[in-house]
Amino acid sequence: MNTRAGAALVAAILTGAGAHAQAGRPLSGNEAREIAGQAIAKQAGGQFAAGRGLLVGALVWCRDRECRVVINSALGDLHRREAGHDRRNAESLYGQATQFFDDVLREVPDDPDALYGKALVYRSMGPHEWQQPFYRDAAARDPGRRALYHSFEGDYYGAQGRWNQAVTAFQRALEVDADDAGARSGLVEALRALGPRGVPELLSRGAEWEAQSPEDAADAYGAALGGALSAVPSDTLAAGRAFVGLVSVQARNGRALGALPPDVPADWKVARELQLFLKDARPGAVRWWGARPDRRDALALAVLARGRQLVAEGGPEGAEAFWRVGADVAPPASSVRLDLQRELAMLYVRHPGIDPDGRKFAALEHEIFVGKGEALAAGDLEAAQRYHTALGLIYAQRGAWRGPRARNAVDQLTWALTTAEERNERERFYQPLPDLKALLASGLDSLGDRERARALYRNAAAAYVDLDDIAGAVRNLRSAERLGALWQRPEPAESVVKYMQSRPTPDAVQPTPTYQCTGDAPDAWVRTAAALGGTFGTSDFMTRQRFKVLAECAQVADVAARLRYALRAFSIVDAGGVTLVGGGDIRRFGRVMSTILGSVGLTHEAVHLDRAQPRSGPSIPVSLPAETKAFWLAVPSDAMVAARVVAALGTEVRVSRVRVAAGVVDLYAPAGVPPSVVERLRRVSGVQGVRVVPQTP
Amino acid sequence: MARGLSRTIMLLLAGVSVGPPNLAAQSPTVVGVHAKIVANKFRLRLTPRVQEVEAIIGKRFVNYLRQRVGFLSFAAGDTVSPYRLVFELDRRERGSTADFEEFGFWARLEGTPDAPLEVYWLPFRSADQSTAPVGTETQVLDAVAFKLDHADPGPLRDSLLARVPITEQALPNLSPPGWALTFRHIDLCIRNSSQLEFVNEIPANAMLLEKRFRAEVVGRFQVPPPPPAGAEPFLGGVFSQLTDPGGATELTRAMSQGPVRVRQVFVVSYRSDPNACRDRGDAQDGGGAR
Repeated sequence: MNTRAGAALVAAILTGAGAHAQAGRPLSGNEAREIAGQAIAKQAGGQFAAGRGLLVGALVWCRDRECRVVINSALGDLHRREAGHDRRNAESLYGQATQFFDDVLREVPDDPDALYGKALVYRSMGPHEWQQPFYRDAAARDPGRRALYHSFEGDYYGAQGRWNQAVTAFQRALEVDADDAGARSGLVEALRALGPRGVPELLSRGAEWEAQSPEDAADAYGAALGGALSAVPSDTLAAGRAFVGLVSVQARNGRALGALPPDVPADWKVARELQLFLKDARPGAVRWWGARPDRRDALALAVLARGRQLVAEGGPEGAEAFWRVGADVAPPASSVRLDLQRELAMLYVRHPGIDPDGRKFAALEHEIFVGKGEALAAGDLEAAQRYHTALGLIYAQRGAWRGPRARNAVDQLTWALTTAEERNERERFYQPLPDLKALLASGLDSLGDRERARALYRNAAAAYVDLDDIAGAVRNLRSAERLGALWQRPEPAESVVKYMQSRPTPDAVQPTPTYQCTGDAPDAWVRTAAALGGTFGTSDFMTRQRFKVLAECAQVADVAARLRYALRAFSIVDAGGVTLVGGGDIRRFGRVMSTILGSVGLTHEAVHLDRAQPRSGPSIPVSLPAETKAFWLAVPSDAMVAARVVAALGTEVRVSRVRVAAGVVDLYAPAGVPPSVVERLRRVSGVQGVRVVPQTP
Repeated sequence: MARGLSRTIMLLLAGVSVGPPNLAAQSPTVVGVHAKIVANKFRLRLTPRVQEVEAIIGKRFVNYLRQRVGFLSFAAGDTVSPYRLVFELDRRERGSTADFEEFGFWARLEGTPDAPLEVYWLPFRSADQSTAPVGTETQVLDAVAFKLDHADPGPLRDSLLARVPITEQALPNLSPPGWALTFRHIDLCIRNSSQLEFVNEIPANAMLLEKRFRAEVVGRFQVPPPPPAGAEPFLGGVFSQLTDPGGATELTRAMSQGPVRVRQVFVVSYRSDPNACRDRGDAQDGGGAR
């Protein structure tokens, strides 16, 4: 009997697991989980010894693998956490934690929790030669955390000063998961350590990360700046590019404008020129910054940010001065110029004292119309849409629904909506915009244009349905009906209202009593709603609704039918036919994936939202309320492949578990899989190979 | 291998005054985090559950900060710590009553001598989106989560949290000139080349002067065994080296004249190590999409 086993016997007598000793009954897996939960709770309260004792005692009464895996994993985790608190004994505690995780891995070599726990222990211990092969092995065994293990491997190389190998490991991690924060940060450090050699990649990474992770983008640009200036002779071109990028990130994120990294001389003339300009906005003072469009663009962004700071500090007059100069400095067909003009227009509305006779606004109006043309010419539909929206709101607030062409709310709001539609066609970015539709409808209503007002109220109702705001939908349907029947008979509208009101919220886990999830009911509702016409009758709207309803049914229908509904909902998304709208749809998609993957023993890992479409891997467009740009839901490739495989398996084959790693599918099927099915799976998109394992994992 | 974590720092104790830190884990200074919905547009829509929503948002901010600002500890709703970070959802132009106004989160630090310090940090809804519906409680929480996912912690760290001392314990060192902390790199999720500021009481002409020095994190503090008295709690901790030769001379002179006492340590330029912070626990809130 070794020391650990001896301690276990003693602990068993002292702890709650002694009850099992008296009963002479082994622990079940669920009981083990319960005890592990109690131990973790004790640990969280600082009672490490009590938690440890509970687990060691329980281990004695484990008779099967499941129980041992649960308890050993918990023991490993507890020792690892205790090591973080007990510095004197940290080394020994980390060693024991490793042994417990190894115990698990001997029984289940691919156990993801044990691999992760062991990796965290290794990471905490500092670098040792023997860690590197483990990280490599773990990356192969646990595809779900491949990026993390590559990233830890990069940290290991970095700690050894092996920077080229660190760069390669971090790059590998980012190929697997472009959103891995540890890999991004590690890559910047590794490239920084390479000195001037790392500058080109730092510049390209900075540009890549600007939208998704401004912190890493700023670090990358800062490191590139330091590296370029440290070259002999200095690479002033690269340094300039780095600083332009850095200032853009600073401006977009409320950072200190013109601030330099600690390793760059504070009196570097390019920074000095910017810092002086941001004090008094004298255009002539920016010779370097005014020399090229990309520099002027960054300068204008900095001016926009400076004005925003001044507005927040209660200095609208100062903001106006900056923004006026900025609008002159900004390149003609740039988004930032439109943003500056939009901010100015709204500033004049909010602070009439700055523009008492309205002349400034009138002059700006002219510039804006010219600028809008430039924005359209440059293909910047987002800037154009925001322009029209801002002007539409201003005219609406002033009650200027009618007026000369373009100088009225109806024209501007109509153009805002048509530009949004154009973006949907060109950029695959659908925006519901129920508020703008309802506002324009009310304006047209006040002008007596009942027909257009009714159509817009109806479309606003559909947009509210997209946003899961059923009350808003019903309110606008009623407004539309007030102006004339939506259908020859009232039944469709009433049944749509009734059905919408019976639908569960995206968070509901129980069906509402009147909600129909049997047979063809979900499709029937979509067809009925289509009878209302307008947006309700468009194929895009119907597809979005079909996805929502099927996903809801996958959650609340009879257990036997859930997978079927989930697969139908998944197929809509996988076919690229839908924009997810709001957090509700993101949750629906997550539950659909959990249902599908859970049916073959897989766990659906969290997905993440990117501001830019990922360069590789599956992604789904997402429209968030009050956001003027699309987000992208990045889903791990293997998860999508696994869901497609479940769909392709159909009902003829029983598999106990599916594993997918880098597109290679392992089917655990004790009864085997017919060759025709294997052949079918090989043709599934993303599948790189199929292996049948005639056993249970 | 100047940046290697395994770098050995040779200790030359001289006139060092060390407090009594123990070897049990110490946490960096705790900052209480509070969230408040000030803007009526949102407050009225969320009534009567405003306080519950504020509590959930507070936890969201804590989770965000734990992952991104490793050099301090954050606790939702904490009222014990003298340091409070208050996030308020309000108009960007606070005095304005205009229809078209931007809304966003202000961040205010309370408890420092020069407090309250405040920045307009996270735009939440732009002015041209001011007519968009507030949405349900879940939708508001979703929107906060999405904003936080891509929010830059830089302004919070640089403008506010760099003013909170992370500890009052540090060990001055003669050669190389610098200070060791009891915290390890992993405790602070910090990388080498971060910059720390040390506020010291140094002897000068029979007086004690307060003197600030900046130093760069360069590695781990290690000495050949056995460690000198008082040094043990700092073994393996973060070591920061003075890079300014003038400062080094000043510190060396001060240490030769008598004990140098460290009063406060600040992180003024932070290079985070997200892999070290991966295991920071989440404050569960149970609301919205994550």
